[in-house]
Amino acid sequence: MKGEYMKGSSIFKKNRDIVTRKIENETILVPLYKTSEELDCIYTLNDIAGRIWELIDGKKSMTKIEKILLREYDVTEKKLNAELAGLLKDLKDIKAII
Amino acid sequence: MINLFSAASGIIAYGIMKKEGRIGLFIPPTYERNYPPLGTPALSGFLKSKGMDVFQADLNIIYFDYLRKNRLGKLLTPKYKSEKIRKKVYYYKILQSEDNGRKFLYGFENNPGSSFAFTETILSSDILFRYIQDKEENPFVRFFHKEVLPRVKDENISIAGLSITCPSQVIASFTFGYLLKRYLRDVKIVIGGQYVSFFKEELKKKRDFAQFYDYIIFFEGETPLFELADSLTNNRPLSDVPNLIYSDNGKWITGGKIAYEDMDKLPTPDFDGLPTKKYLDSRKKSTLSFETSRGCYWNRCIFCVDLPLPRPQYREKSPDLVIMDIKKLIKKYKTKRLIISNTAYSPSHMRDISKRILEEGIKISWWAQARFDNGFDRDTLRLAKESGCETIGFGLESINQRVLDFIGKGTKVGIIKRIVKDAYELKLGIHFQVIIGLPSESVEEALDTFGFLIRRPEAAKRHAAYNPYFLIPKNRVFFNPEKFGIRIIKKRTHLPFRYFYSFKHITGDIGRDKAYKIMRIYNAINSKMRSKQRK
Repeated sequence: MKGEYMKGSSIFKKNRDIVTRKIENETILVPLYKTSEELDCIYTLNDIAGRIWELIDGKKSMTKIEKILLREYDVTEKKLNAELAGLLKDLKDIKAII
Repeated sequence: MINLFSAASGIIAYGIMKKEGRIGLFIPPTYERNYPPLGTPALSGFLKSKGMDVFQADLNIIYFDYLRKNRLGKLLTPKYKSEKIRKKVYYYKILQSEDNGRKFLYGFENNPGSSFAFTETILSSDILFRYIQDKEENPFVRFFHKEVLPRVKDENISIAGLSITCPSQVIASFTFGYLLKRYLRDVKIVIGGQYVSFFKEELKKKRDFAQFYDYIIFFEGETPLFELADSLTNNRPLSDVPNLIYSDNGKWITGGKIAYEDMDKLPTPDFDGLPTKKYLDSRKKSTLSFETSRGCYWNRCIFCVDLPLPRPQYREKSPDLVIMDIKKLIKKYKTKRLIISNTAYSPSHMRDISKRILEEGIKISWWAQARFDNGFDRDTLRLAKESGCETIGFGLESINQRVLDFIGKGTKVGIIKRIVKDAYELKLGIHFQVIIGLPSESVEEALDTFGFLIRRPEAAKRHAAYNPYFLIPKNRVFFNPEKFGIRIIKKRTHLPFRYFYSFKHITGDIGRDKAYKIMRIYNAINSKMRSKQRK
């Protein structure tokens, strides 16, 4: 596992100021931070990213999430690691996960 | 001089205009200028058909011309932006209010004396009469003195009818009434229009408002205004005049009956006297307003901001008469575009009238409002398009079925999607009206609507309009807030003319702040989509 966001034991939880809704095949994330003035954006997650978002629940460790994804998707561990690290960094940057 | 024998309809038996005099119909500032409000043209057409002499003026257009001409638009507002200067204004205190427990100031009116908040506050204030007469602070005093009263004097009117649709017109109307009563002592002043109909019970409690007007006509005004003029001319009792509130021994009295017009008996609206070329929409196209029906054939939406409950029954004008009206408007005003201002254009009526427009080969483009009714089948939409319909403005509100059911829209998501698909395929414009933060709505449910619209580039192009939910009095939510998951917040100050009520959601979770945040996101994304489309 690589990157500061991808320690196997890490457990992330969703920011409660982010509202999500699955619309067709995409998951929409809308930040409704109480303090921010910068609200002119929303984020969309594709099918796989949406599934990862669903699995982040403040209880499951990243190792557990990774195992679930390896079972569900036809992907190598190396590629999944890389993708997961990238997505977690993005989610952290937008304060979607804590 | 009035020539009674030139009366169009020949109904001279009423003896109208036994005395010299005319009826002046006025649209007071401040209001929209995209198209002429239909109130006074409808009244003018009706009164003229009864042989009456009518003078009509849009004081709102004159007011904005006056501000522009005198460069007052910029002068009037900014002075209040300085706290120091604001505090010198004697009505400063009443500009403070409370909203959701937070103090805020609403002194920054785009048009002084016109904001809803200022209006509802000053109407219940001790300084109302001081403000109405104040040449310095009330901008309408100078305007009426300079631009209107001298002209009105020459028109020799005996009755002045002020059509008040919106709270933004109230202070100007009362100022005008107050000045008219001093400037032209014999003129009787009548107020009417949607605002007046909305607050008729509250107006009845204000005896001292008799300084601003003599009569109130609520709901539809054609027959009542005609009968009022007739009764005044012939000294008949006012108690028989429908939809009338009049003063008797210092008390406001309501006449005995409520009348609604038979649409088939209403003549073509008369726009004479109105600057028809000055009403321009966002695309700078000159437009006239027109109606083919009154009332709403659905009438079950819980949030409706139209007339208070109980509302008038739905009536349509027969297609042949509608066609006759449209032909007359084209011939007389050379109009090429109509706003059909029906509360909701019914599909069957739209179909019948579209067919007749095509049969007659009438060249007109038009715009109308409707609800997502399954009756808008592909054939009806095709006929509308072929008969000149540019756009139908649909009250979408939400695309979430639970929310649609809860707010009484009476439509299904599948029907909405089908109508939208048909309209796009027919290249018929659709404008979506969306409300954010409806009673019981969750953020997730609001996002459904957003997700639906964002996948339709046409929605962005056509400026889907998003509005936060406002609680207004006298609709279904107001009368039964708990049933609809709303708690009305009681204010320190009782304002009988309050138009927007503060509330908290009990079951929904989109308060005002959140609604604005969501709207900001929607609008930002829409504008990005529009700029992408332009590229």
